[in-house]
Amino acid sequence: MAISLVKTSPPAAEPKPPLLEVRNIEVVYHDVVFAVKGVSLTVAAGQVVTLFGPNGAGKTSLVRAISRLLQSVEGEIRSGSVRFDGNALDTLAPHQIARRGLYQIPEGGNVIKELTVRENLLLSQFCRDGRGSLNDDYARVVDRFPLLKTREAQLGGYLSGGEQQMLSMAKALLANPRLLVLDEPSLGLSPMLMQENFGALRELNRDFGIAILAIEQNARVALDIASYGYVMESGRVVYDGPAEQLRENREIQEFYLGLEGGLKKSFRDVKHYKRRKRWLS
Amino acid sequence: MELFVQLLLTGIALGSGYALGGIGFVLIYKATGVFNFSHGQLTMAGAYFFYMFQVQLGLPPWWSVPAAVASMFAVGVLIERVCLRRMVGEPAITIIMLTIGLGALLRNLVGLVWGTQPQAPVPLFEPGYLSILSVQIPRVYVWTLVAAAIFIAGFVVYFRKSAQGIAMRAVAFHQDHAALSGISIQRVFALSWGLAGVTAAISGIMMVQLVGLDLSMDARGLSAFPAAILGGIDSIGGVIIGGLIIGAAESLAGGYLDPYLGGGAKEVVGYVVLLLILMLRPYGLFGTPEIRKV
Amino acid sequence: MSNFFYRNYRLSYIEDRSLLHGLQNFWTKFWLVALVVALLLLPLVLQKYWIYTLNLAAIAVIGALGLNLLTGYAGQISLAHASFLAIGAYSTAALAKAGAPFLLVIPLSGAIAALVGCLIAIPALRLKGLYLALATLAFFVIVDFAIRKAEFLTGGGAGTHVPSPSMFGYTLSGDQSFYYLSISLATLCAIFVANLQRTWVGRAMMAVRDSDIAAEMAGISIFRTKLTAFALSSFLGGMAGSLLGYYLQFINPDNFSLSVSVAYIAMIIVGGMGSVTGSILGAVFMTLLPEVLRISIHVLSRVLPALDVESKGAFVEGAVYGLVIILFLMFKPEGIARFWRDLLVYFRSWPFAH
Repeated sequence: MAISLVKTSPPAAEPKPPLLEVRNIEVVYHDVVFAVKGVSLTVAAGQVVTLFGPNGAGKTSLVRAISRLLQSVEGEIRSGSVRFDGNALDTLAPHQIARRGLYQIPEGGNVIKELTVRENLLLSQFCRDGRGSLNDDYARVVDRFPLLKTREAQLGGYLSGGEQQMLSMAKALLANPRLLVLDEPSLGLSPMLMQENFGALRELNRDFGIAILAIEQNARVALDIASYGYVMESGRVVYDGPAEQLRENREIQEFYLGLEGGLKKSFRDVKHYKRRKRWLS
Repeated sequence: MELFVQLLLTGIALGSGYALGGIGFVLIYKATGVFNFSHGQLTMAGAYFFYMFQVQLGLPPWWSVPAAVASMFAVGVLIERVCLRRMVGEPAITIIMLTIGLGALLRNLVGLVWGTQPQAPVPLFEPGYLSILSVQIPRVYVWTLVAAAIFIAGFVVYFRKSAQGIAMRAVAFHQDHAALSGISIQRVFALSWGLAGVTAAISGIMMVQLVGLDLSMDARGLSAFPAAILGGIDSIGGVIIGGLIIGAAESLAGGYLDPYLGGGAKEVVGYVVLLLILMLRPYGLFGTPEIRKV
Repeated sequence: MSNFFYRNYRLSYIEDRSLLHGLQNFWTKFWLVALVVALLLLPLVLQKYWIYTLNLAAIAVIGALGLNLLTGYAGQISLAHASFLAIGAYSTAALAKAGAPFLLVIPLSGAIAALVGCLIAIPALRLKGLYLALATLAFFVIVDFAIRKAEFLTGGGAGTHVPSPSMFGYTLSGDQSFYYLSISLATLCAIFVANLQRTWVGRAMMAVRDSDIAAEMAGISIFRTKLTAFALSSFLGGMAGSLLGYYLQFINPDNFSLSVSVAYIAMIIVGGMGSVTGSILGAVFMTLLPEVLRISIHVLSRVLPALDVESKGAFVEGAVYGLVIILFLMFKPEGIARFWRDLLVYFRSWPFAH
């Protein structure tokens, strides 16, 4: 499946076998902390899916599990499986998963501060498996993000937070994956930069057919670009559905979108809010 | 004055050998976080391999050099695969002790195979003196300096420009990000140790030209430690400068202090410098300080 | 009835505070008494060569206890332990030649070593891990150099003679009498270190080892703790060196080379860091290992004379030594003590798994 960085037509609408299939993943830290309690989700090719929820819900743990990066934080997958393009990822090392086309940008971006912008971008060549011409695609990417062009020789650490996120996006584009997993891409960004980055994400999906799984705390932005969403709380998926459905849902509106239905509540009502959440066990 | 210049120049020649050896350390430390206490023994092994290829197997010298280098690359990779791969995550003292034990093993294996007699490999450079700055320098020293400079330059270029070099630096700075970019951490580790073996081999071969071949070489190779620390253990540029300084200091101390002390000043000076640096500026001249979380 | 022979719970606060856990059990008491009796009777049944080996092992135990205190309890890596042995030995040489009684000389040599140990604590304050190891290495090289150069004091590279331990006219001579001296001193040191573990001094050291800044915030002075650790460790090392001097009766700088420092580190790692049992087991194991190797090489050279192993004996020993360190670190990093404990637990809880 060679995809070049030239713009293609938007993905077809017929149902496909899912690109990413997560089945009942359980993640445990230090043998005692149960972070992800059996989560399943799917991402189809070319789809934009979002996973949102409060702090500590286990979203980052899940995403680390998908890319098999739990060892350095003393976590392990206790049960469940992840399949990418029909192949199980159980026995693969993180770099092999990246090479197959599942590219993850962890929280805070994946910019290596001690390397220059150019060197950071060149790191993406290891995911490409020699597809296409690196130099041509490099030139195209740098043209798309002119800010990076002016800073090619600067160390990554000297870029601002938003610029680093942009660099991460550029690296992802150059790596040409089939699925891009982003952990909190809006974290710490000004609204303007956020719009720009999410615009770039939309472009990646529309023009290059890259599927996206975005983990977010900012549900509004997430539901803006996604076509499907999952809500995760306390290690479990508690609600999922197409984006419009999530946007209409009253509970989600209240807890994640900040829309309280207009009426001011008295403290007594707020105190009891937890009991109204249908899906809390 | 003449004595000073002569000592300085020979010290720089010797120091370039330390710098080259130090690069091997810094390499391993930067990429894998392991400080290889067995570097002196690896240097010695490289020198003995060279002797084996050149004298015992009769290869022409310009074949025995690459052969020794290739063997030491293999030795480095072997050490990484067999011993160090499973030690990921173990506390520092365990890994340090492991490399110390490795050094002891290597030293005795070398002694087992080649015996205690000093050996005499065929010199690579013609004997005699060159006249530089109106001082007589043994040709050997000049050539080793040149060779060291070439290799060091080669390594620096490799790290900065080649894809593998960037990958190694990426792994050194941030393993997780590097892995997510599709870089195989295991391969980089193996490559680091292999390259460390290469630098040890070259360093050893050079040292043979300067001081001969016998079992005390590993103690001499130990002087690469102060070089690496002085320069800053995660800075390749630093270790080069550190090596030159240590080499010069040793040579000058040997020349000026030995008559008073009856010998032995050379070896100690390096360690005095080391101690001073550790007390005053532990991260060295060019190293980056470690930020520790409580 | 089963309660009498073995229980692993305590029934009083006194039992809880006691130094030797398990003394409430009959079997533990039995084996302890048996051990003491065996130790007392051993020299009567063993050949001279083995008594010699046991003496060396007892000396090693004292040294290992010192290093384990520094590295296992206080977390300070040190390659300079051989220097403290050297200082203890050379002090003994000087003091014994001046005619001092051995019961005074031994602790005094330890004290001199401890004073020097305080010196090395100064750089140790700011350094950790690798950098500390290098600083101690530098310290070792400098001390070694000083010993070789101060010929008027130490005899330089040629070495110096140490008279036999003597006190008020009575002279200790012979392996057997020395054995009783070394074993008693080793036992005292072991009890001392074991006791240290349950005092605040020992706990302070362990706190500094595990999380020094947190310890400082809890009111423990890192400086004083590290100073104490180095001082006590070099005191024990000095005493071990003193005994060694008295025993070998002739010492030179090669007796205290870097390999000796490495050997002690190997002892505490192989034995188990941070425990008295570990120090003892490690010291005995690493002292016996070269002897066992020597015998095997001897046997091997008889069986396979063609290999000519005998002449290369030293290298084979050294190689196996290094190999033992490596293998232990790779497969049993917590040492024999841990293995022993697991073994006991296995038998006690059999047929249950844990």
